Amino acid sequence: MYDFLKLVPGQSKVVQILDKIVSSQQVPHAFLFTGPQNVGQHYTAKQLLKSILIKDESNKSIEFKIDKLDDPYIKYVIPLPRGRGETPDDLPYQKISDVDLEIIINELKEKSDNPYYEIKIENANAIKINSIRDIKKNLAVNYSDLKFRMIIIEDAHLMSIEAQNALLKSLEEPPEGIIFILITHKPELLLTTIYSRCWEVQFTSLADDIVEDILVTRFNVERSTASELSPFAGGSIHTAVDLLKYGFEEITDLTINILRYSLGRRYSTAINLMQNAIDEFSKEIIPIIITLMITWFNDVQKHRSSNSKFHFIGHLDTIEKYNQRFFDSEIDQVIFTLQNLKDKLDLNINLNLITLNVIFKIASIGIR
Amino acid sequence: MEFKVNSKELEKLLTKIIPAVPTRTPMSILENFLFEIKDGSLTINATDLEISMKSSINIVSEENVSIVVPAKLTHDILKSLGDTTVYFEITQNGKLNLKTDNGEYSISYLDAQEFPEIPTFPTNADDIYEITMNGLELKYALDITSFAMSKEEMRPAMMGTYLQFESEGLRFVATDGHRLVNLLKKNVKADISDQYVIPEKAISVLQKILDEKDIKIFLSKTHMSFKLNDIELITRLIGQKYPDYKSVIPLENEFDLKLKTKDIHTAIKRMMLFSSTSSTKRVKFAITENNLEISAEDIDMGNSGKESVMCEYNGNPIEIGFNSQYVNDILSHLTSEKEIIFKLHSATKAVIIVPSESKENQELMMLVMPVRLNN
Repeated sequence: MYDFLKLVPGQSKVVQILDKIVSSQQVPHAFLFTGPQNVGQHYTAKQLLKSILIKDESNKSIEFKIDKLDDPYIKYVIPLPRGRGETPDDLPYQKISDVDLEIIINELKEKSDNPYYEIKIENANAIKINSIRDIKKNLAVNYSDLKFRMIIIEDAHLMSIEAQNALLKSLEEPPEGIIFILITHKPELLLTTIYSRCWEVQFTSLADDIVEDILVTRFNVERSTASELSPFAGGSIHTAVDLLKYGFEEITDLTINILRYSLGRRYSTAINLMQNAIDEFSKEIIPIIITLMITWFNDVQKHRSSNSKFHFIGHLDTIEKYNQRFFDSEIDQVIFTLQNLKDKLDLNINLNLITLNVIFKIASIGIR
Repeated sequence: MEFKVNSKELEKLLTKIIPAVPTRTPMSILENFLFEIKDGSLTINATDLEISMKSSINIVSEENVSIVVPAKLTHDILKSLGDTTVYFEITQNGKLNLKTDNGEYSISYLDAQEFPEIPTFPTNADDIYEITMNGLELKYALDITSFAMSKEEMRPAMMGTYLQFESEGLRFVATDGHRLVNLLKKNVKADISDQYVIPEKAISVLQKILDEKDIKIFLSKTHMSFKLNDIELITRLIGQKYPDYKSVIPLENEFDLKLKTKDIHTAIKRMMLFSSTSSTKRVKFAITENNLEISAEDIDMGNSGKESVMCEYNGNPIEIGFNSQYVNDILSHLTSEKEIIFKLHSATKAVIIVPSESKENQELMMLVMPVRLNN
């Protein structure tokens, strides 16, 4: 048997579990792939289907079709923008504008070429109930000549409550040979009824060298840049790609400056820096900056415990200076607050409020 | 390589196949035709992965080659060319050149490998049957039943038309839970015990292409293939079990209300003007001996309508409500019948509607559920 799952990098535990399932020939009809965003869930889903369908190396044609996300082997469901005058009775793509449709086609092509690519479509904030209805229609058609088919729902947490409820029955009793894969990094947003119907497979953060390899092989990033950047990615390709998109060096410099001005209680300068960053990039920059701040504080702690494996190697002087000046500051509390504020971003809390809280919390270290 | 065809001939063929090409799909490759040139024959394929259509014409060509060309553009060009000879040239650099006496048109083509797997009829499977039917008869059967198919995916099996071979003939059934059409074609008989549910897309395409010629139908558990002259349509079937429709057909509807189809149809259309705003689109039938009073009311706007229709009725006086849209749909499909009979029992039981005279070789029965009247 050709082992497709072994090709999934950095997820040995997941591969082990799925391998067992495949060889037991008792494949659950619904999986929930959780864990950090974009650490190989999509690629694993494809490889899982290949390893179930292809028992030797000979069937290149099915492999090719699965890679291309071709119906009927894979029905790929993603968040989509709402079309003009769209009703729940329309097909998911029926009322979408031509411009959006072309963007979607291109994004899907990128995704089929690179399973770690993240589809970005403007205003695609939800998995529409139309898409779920389309799944149900698709399930009704007789595909018993195919042994297995897969329905991959990307960002499953973006299904509305109605959409999740609409999916329940299909998820519970799909026709034979259907495997649902729900991919999400926020399983807590799913209804418990959905959650309980799926076999959860928890993915873990990728090791830095795996992130580096994926950046080099899948995203054509220079080895040196990938190597420098990967420790900051927190084991997620999602973060790594964001860092690349916004300019890695620029953002680390910016983070250091915000930290410096906050600690020096030059509030307005720090606030302005944050505001300019939001204006220049987008509000997505805030969680990245907060993550970098947390990484920097972790470096500070490492420095205190004489651990020499730092992430901010280029800014080592800032870490040393900090520990000279604030040698007795309690960093745990700061890291905890920053993490908490970052999580709050998902709850749609006012961005200014978050920025002010971040700056004041850091500034509080300097007040004795 | 090069070959020539008559533009009109090819355009006619593409026109028949193009309904299988999906218009708004994220798989843009499906918006193309697959041209397969093999052994002096050009086969054109189109698919939306649920149905596929193909057709062939003979050409003079020595090479075998397959390419994928944009469906709409190719069809539009051939349509606009009129009746002329078109010289096709497939170049190595991805261009399909069309040459006529006055013009030259170049279309980019894709590699045939890009085209997804086309649904094909499983010729080597067990339980494969073949029947032949007149095209117009099949068209009539699909026309008269398909309007009642469900559009809701809650009960997916009902989103198709159900075919069952019985000892008396071939039965077509469609229902959405509110109305039902049941047609028995007595002249089509086959010893087939399997049941088939054809999805809506295949039915709508078939309705467009069927004509007076005979059609060969091949049936398997997963697919159905329709061979009509030079065109073949293959569809996947709905895999879910069709609900037990027979259990909703009442047996004790003893009261007959006989009406002229045209009279009741025009009256219902007028009543729809007053009932269309309410959610149930309710129209009331107050039936007494030889008189039917139809009324509808728009409570929100304070408008109402009432009409008397001549009828023959042999039962107890009854007041019953219907969704006017459903009744109108049924009557629109019975316009060829001079008289129809509503078979009733009570205000809450399903009502059967049948033509007063059966056509040769067929039995037609329609059913509509009443809506509650709040007196």
